[in-house]
Amino acid sequence: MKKTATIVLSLLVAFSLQARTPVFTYGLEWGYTATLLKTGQYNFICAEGYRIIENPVTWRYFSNGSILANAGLNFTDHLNVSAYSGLLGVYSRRWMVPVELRVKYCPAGLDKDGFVLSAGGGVTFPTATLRETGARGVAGAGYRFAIFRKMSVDFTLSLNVTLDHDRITDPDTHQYVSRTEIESNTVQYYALNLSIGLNF
Amino acid sequence: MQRRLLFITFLALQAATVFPAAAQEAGIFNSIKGFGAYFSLAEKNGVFHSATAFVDIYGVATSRCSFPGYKFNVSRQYIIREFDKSPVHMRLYAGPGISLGMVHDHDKGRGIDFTSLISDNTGFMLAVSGDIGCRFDFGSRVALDLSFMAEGGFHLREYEKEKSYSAASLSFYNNGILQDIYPQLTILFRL
Repeated sequence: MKKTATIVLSLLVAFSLQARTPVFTYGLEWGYTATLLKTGQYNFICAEGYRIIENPVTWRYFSNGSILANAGLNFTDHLNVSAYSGLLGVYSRRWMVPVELRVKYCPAGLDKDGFVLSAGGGVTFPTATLRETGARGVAGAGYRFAIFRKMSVDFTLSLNVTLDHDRITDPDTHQYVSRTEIESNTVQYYALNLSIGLNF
Repeated sequence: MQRRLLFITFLALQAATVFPAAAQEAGIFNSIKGFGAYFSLAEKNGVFHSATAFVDIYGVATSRCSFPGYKFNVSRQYIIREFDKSPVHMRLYAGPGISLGMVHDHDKGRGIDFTSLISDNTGFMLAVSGDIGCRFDFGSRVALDLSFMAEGGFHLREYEKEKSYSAASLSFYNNGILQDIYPQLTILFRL
């Protein structure tokens, strides 16, 4: 953990030394999320006393949305690092509040028209039922239209992977399985997100 | 009644095909109301026409219904005033229009409410609209437009309590007024 923190800090210092003066940036991003796949890994003891191990894979299409605000820094003329938070739908009636760090790289320059690559990750806080903190990763590419000075619009297509937990129901009693009987309970949602981002 | 509805639908389809072909600007309509496409014709004597077709997300964002509505609007916009604070050119406009669509209307029960779904509230809406907005032109090929729209009209749907009789219910289109404070941001591209 200490090593990772040192590497991240060194990178941040290196980037900030490269830049003339770090420029603060702000933005809003909203988009349509198509959740396509849900995978899970469950391992628990059921009411009858035997262990159940399941790894279900469910292909199902769900329409969701996302709205995020961000604040960050332009470390170089091509690289921006921003913290994002807001509200996003990840599955059927499953909303989360993410807190994530995202790196954006524009080969043509942050203030110019051109392609934009982004990648990031962070933690997620579900808004209802089973409020166990999860994690999320995002990677995507798009196009940036420069509007005026620092103002620009990004159109991005990204792949989102969100880690979550599920409510496990006992197959015999149809009651929720007690936490003490669960050894592992993880769920992953895979989705494609098409977003519009306004940067200023 | 049916003939009139058919005629209005025909006009809407005509406008939907003519507008993109003759449009001077195309854009992406973004609002808490929904998302869609925007087209505007060239300005002539301080007047221009705009058309917006969008997916109405009322009830979807709050998980109260599982599918959205669809709305179409055509407006005649009068340019009230122009400001030139180089390099930003601002254009304040307002004008009337006509909206029609297949949408959900406002229903009691607000916010995130998993129990009282409003999926059965879809109906045909027809309204006159009033639009006020400001267009920000920065000299690049992308411009921004911020506007507000109020609508006054009716919402025709199947009466929820007498579905077995296929009874119709006609009421004032509440969302036309309740959603007038929702800002509409359009990202415009010069064609």
